Amino acid sequence: MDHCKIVFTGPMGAGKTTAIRILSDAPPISTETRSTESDKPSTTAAFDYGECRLPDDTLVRLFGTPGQLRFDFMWDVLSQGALGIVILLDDRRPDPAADALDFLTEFPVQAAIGAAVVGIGRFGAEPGPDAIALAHRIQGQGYRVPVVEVDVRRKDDVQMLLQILVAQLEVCG
Amino acid sequence: MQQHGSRIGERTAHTLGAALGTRMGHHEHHERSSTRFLLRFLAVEPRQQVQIASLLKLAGPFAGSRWAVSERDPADALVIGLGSQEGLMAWQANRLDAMAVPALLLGTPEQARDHVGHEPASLLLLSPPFRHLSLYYCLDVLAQQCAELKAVRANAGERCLRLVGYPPASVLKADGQHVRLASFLFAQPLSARELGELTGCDPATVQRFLHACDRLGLIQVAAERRSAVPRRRAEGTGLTPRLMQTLRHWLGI
Repeated sequence: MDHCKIVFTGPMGAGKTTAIRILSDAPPISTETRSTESDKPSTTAAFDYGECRLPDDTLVRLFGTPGQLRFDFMWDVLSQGALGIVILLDDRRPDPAADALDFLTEFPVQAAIGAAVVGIGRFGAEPGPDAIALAHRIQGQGYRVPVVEVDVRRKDDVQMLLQILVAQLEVCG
Repeated sequence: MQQHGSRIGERTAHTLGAALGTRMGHHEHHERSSTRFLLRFLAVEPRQQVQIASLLKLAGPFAGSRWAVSERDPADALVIGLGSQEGLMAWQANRLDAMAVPALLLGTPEQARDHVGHEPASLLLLSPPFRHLSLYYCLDVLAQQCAELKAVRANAGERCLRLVGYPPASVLKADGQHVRLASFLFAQPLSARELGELTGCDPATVQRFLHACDRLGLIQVAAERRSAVPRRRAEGTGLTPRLMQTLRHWLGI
């Protein structure tokens, strides 16, 4: 049986748990705890886990990293053997581009070969940073990864992120 | 005018035709594939010069496209005319190549009134959120007058092109084909022909995609063919050709 691992990462509150929940065949396993860094009632402490079983029995494992820095020891563990990473950003945060660069740095293997896609969520009432401008900042640091706007509450948008990731793997891998 | 479309569509065509001093009619080869769209095709012969307020690209990278697909009902969209039937069908499908048509955007209600006359009631009927009213005025006759649009069409040659940014796939409702086109061109400069060969897309699809990206200001002519992303397979990920095939099939790309 084939299997693969895709990691959803990004800062706290960007929608990683939501994205995995919307894709997973079964309710995902979450390790949530009370948040100490924001108004968010709970946050992921270790990881989220969901899976999609494809018609030929291939298992796509979806892992979500914790967003809080104090759990960053999990990032390295979760990135091992990952096919690619989906970085979700929150446009309400002060500098989403800096967030993206932080997470690309934390996943150097995937970032180096372009096995990554950045989705910037639209949560605020005001228009957030333009995806193109954000992409240019990321490219300016040597990372050429797609940046697109997403609403992780919509399955189509999350699937589109995976489409882009797999297309990136096809092109760059 | 032939009697196609809804009453609103007929009224609009009449109003616009009178305001612009044009004769409007439906394209004789038009097929009614959707009853939701008001104005399918308007064969327009302007009798007076129409001022181009701004090109879509100059109105903000995604302003027009975001508006166009954010309407809940396509009938809210007011399309006066399009450069080609092919372009119209693409626009209707709300796909990434929707912007392949040489769209000219008139950004404000005031500009709209200037072009379609002082009948706000008709316009309100078409587009309830009047503050968002935009008019796409895409006529071959105007496109031919516009040097920038000529340049867009010239991109169809063998020149090597590159994407300076990834297209807004979620905003424009891209399908798997568009995603592959975008990823291949994002990774490396390619000619239209090469892009078609690598992705297996037909030339017309490639051209619509390139025009769409160009309209969004994402296309540059590449000076060199150096790949933008190093081709190095990650170790230990288990990515095999079979797995890639499975994933592509799963995601429809």
